[in-house]
Amino acid sequence: MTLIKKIKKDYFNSPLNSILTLLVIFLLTKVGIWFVNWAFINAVWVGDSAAVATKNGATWAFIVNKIRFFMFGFFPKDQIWRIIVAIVLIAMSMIPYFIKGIKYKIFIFAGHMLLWPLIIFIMLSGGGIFEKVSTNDWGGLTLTIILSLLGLLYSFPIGVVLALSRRSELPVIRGLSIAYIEFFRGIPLITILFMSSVVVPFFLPEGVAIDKIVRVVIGMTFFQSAYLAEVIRGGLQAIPKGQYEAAESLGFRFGLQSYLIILPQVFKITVSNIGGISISFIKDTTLVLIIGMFDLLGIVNPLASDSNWLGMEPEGLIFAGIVYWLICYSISRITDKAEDKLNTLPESGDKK
Amino acid sequence: MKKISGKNLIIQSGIIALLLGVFIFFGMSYVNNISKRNIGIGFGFLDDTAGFSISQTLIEYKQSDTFGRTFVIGLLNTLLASVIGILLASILGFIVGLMRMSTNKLVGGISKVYVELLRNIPPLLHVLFWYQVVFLNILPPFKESININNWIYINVRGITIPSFVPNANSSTFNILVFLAIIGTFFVSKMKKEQVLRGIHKKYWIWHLGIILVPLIYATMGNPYSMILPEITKFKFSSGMTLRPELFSVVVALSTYTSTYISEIVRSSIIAVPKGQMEAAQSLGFGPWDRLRLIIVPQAMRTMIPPVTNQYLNIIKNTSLGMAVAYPDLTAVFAGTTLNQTGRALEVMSLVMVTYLSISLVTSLLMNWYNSSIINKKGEMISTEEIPYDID
Repeated sequence: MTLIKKIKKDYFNSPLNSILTLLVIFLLTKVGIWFVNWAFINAVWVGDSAAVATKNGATWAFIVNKIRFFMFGFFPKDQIWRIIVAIVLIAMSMIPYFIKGIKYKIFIFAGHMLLWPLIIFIMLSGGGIFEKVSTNDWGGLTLTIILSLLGLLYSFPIGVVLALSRRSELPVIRGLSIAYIEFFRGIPLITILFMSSVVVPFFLPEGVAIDKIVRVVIGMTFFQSAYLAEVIRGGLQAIPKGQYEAAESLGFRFGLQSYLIILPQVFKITVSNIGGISISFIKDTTLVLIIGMFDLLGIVNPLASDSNWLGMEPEGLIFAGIVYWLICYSISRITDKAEDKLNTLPESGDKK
Repeated sequence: MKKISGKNLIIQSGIIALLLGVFIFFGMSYVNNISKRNIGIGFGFLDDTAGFSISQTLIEYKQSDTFGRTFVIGLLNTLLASVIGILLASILGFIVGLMRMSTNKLVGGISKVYVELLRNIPPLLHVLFWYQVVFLNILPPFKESININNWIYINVRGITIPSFVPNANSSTFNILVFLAIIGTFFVSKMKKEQVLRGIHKKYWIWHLGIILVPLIYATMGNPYSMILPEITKFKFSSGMTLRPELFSVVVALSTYTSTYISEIVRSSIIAVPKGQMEAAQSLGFGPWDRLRLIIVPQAMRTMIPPVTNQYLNIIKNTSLGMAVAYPDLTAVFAGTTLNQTGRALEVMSLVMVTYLSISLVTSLLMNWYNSSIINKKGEMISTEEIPYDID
């Protein structure tokens, strides 16, 4: 009885809502049946070419056949273990963050800023130890992860510095950081990628060449740090004034005051915003396809123009979409959880 | 105000000197590189002949036009996609946001799924999906164009609609339309003030009059002549074609951004004190009037700043159209023109400055709108602020 009452309350509480419910159920069944037919019942999972495709079904065989390229790009097949080792190494280097006893985690972070590019350079590029693999062959999900990780890693400290400088009392520092932030927030990322791929080589002295991927990472870091700075500034503004005053009266100078008192609180309250901005960074890495790099999204079209697999763009795009969705959705879940856990700030009276 | 200490002064001048040094260093290597490759410096190239064609142009464009003109064409296409995208995203976002708050749990659930599904997928993937999977597949090929009364043709190359060619007296008409827009604005403002004073008059007759003047002039004076699309064997020889690339960009960006706008709408409506809804209910307002007259106007003030950010995102994201060759500012100017001229720095600076100015103007417009509905203390402008000079 209560169930019926609940259903009535939630779905049929007025004539309009009853009609809406029925309409939605009707449409959902229609779309659902079509989708299940397309994605599962009529779908083909095994095959060597587009010839196996059925009329109203997905050809997942394309994904199954090309999964190596989706994951690792055009990296030589016998060298793929290097990518896996690199990812494992990077993942392992993050363990110290989760060990409770370790102090000064900022040094671990600084260590990562040196270590990660080194790992990537040695393991992926060869670095003189292994067979050299051109960065043009990097691609797929690997490239997406590299760009996201390095971009986030470097934009974080820059973002913090920018956010603090924007509140500085020195007019030159404040003015410069405002100009920087507003400039990078006002232009599309694609123009920065163009700058780094077309214009930057003109600015380098003779004989100096920087790899495209490095230029892209630098460009994206510039761009992302501006957004991150705004998020952190929002957090800084939310910290009650009493915290600054208390820190000052305890004799903390600006550096220690920020590091020990202010920033930890800022990260606590901005964790879900930082999560949100990380998600947009990951989504933004797709833009490298416009300057001719083959990340997870960019590799779909080259793979679908394989003469054996012509016209497989829908499957490729949907697969890439699912992967992006899984990554972004799990990050947003994790940061939401973390926010609940970290939200230990006392209710303060003078918060504005 | 703190006293400027010597240490601070040294730090700041040090930073300026460092920046100057970096600029001079890179500037010198730039000049060095440029002179070696014989590219030249300056914006003189804007007067050179472009010599390439553009698939969608809002104003007339020939291959013999200048690079400067390609800039205008690209800018207009960017603005076109932005305006349509912003309008659609606002409408969609509003609907989805209200659906989310529906008492019907199924409707609320669907809007939640819509938001979670779309916002976690990169916008570029949205654009490619709509273009490669949807529009190129559902639109009929050229020979089987859908023909609506010989006025509109729909096929895989886009929608071809009649074009309007200005006649000699078109400028008079343009001025009339401009005056009508300003007139409408003033009448609305007048009406608002009168209503706040408690005077209810009918103003529709004014509005009608203002609209009728240019309309009558249009029918009598014939300021623009309409040219129907003419179909030849392989292409349309006249009419204006809106490409499927435009639709992919617009649909992709508006659905993607609508998820963000819907969340903003929802949280702003929740932020309106509950008493307002109850008061409206007890005064006998119907559900639609409650929303339109009581809740939404109050939700507006929290809505406008974040929504402005989303509008700016749409404008910047129209540059993603480049992936499907939509001829916007980035694709035409930073793409083709840059390749043809090799003037990378000049082209990119112009493009960046343009985007910055568009963002700035949009922010200013939204701020102005925001200040027109709230006062300096962040409260709604209410009847109390209107001086009661009529009793």
